[in-house]
Amino acid sequence: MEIKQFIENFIELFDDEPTCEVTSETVFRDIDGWCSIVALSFMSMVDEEYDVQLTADEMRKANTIGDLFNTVSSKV
Amino acid sequence: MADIVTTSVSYKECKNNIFRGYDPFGIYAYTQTEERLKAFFSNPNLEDYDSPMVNLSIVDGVIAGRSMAFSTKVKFYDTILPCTTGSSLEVNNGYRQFDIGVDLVLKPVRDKNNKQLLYADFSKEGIGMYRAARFNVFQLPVMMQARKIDVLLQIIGLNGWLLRFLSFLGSLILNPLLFFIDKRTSRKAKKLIIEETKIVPDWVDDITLNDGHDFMEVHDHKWLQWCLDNMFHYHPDNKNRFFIVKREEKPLGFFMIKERHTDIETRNIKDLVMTTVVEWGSNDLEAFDEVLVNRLSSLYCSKKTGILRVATDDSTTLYKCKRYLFFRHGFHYIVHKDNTKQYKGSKDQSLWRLRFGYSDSIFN
Repeated sequence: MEIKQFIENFIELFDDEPTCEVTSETVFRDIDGWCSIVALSFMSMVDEEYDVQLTADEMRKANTIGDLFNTVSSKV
Repeated sequence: MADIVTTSVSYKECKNNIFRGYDPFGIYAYTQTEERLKAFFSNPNLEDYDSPMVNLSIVDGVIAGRSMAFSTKVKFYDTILPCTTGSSLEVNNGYRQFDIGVDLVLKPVRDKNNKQLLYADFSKEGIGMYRAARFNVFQLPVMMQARKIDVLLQIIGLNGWLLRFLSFLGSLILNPLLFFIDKRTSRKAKKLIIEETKIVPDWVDDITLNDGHDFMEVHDHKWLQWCLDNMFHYHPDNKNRFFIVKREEKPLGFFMIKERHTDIETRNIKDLVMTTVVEWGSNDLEAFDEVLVNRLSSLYCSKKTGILRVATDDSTTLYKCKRYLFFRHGFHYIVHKDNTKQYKGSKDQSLWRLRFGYSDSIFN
């Protein structure tokens, strides 16, 4: 599982491509367009692409995209 | 960090009134009205009383969000399968930043007992959540026929004496048009016998379960009877009505409508009775098709009806109904998820028998 592909999959969830640079240090809640629908899309994407079920609590505890990546990687 | 718990109250726990929680916004209380409990507990598909009836999101001890769940059945090809459906997804405005709607949508999706999931009748926000959760989204174009001119005038913001005056003038045009349309419908239906009934006959099963579509929610006579006998909100103008259609004393088909009193605050409409065609079926589409269903609903709906609403993805019906003063207005959404991933064809809307009255749509 690669962080680069993970970030690309993440960016694709947004209706409009984020204007800021998105890296593993990016606080995902600060990205323009982040909302519960994107959160749900992300959890569904992770379920289908990586066969990992993230809980909403794990989402809430994460701050950066790197945190999300680490959580998903630990469950693969 | 907030303490968030997602939990369920089963049918058994509801029945025994076991659940206790801090419910200042009436989120849980909403599910415990007499009408809702009667509807949910008389479900002919309810078999497992340990299954969840209400899913709750509790934030720092406060009940902040809920959804309801009940059992239905789907027919995929020749096989009838259990299916989970639901109702009343809501999150209190003050708690939306916690994304607890995500928990409530995902809880039934991730329950391994739920192989098929089906929901209907959404707000625009709701449909976004189900798209995000990778449900197949089906949309039925909605058409409306204004039966009272004052409804249209209220939408554009008129009220008081100007509303009354222009309603009077407008009705001089609309009422004769509707009279003429309904008269033509009466003539068209002259050879048919149309009877309103409180008992759904079992011959409807042959029509609803064998209409040539590969996928459908099972709307047999028991399910239709359950829907006919129940609704979530009481009002003297609220009715569910079932009509059987015969030709030379032989069953030809049926149609079902619901009439609901409503106020639409965002559109400045008060005391509107909206009638919706929720189900219909025919064993001879040459003699009794969806266009005629909609025309007959116009003829048989109560005199208080301000708007008649129909939903269909049949392009011929959409086209022909314009002749009878139906105009397009939005969509009715139905969503489905096949957790088994065995039924690839279930993504194709054209293979589904779809009606407005899916899931809890008839009860609302």
